[in-house]
Amino acid sequence: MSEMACRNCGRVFTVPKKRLDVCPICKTRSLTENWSGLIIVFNPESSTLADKLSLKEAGRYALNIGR
Amino acid sequence: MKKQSKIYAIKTMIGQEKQVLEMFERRVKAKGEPYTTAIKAAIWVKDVKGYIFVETEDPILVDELLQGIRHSRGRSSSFIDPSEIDKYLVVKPVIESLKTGDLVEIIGGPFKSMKGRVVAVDRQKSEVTLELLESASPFPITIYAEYLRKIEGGA
Ligand SMILES: [Zn+2]
Repeated sequence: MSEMACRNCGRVFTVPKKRLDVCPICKTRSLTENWSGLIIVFNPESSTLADKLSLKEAGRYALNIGR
Repeated sequence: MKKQSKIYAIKTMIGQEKQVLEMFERRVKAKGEPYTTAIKAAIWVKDVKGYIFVETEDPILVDELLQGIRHSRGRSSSFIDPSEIDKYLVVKPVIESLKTGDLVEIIGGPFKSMKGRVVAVDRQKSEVTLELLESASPFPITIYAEYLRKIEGGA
């Protein structure tokens, strides 16, 4: 299993190694294993941190995503 | 009136920050309400050793969930100002914030340090088409959004 981040929407998810190349959330093909830092948003409506990062939905997001 | 949430530092064993965060995440999700409402977000920043941060309006709920999490050393009693962790927050992928008309600087690749005006954004491919400002060439170029930094928003 491998933890990938989506360059388009920032989501982080665990997938079987090299099996998945499409983001299950936004459907783009721009995944990478090269990311660091993680924010878990539980309640985006009233979170200062989610607001700072413009994250509108609950979920797991990478803070830094490499190319 | 809405309760004000604050950001608390949670001590962890050095090197176990992400593991503590993920265990905490599992516990919040397993408990559901009111935890998922009162606990807004939790964050692990790579450059900060021995801490994760939790944003909540109810630190007592956080203490309860931290009980028995391996490598967690508990919540520090004081809260920190959100601006203190601002410097670690890298905003979302550049592509999300770019739109036609924006002025951008190229920060990587063969056109590095040139400036351009965005003429098209392809979110599917994460590519941006630019007209270079200092170039004699009238042709727009298309490059990866990761190579760009926004200088100012267009109209
Ligand atoms: Zn995505």
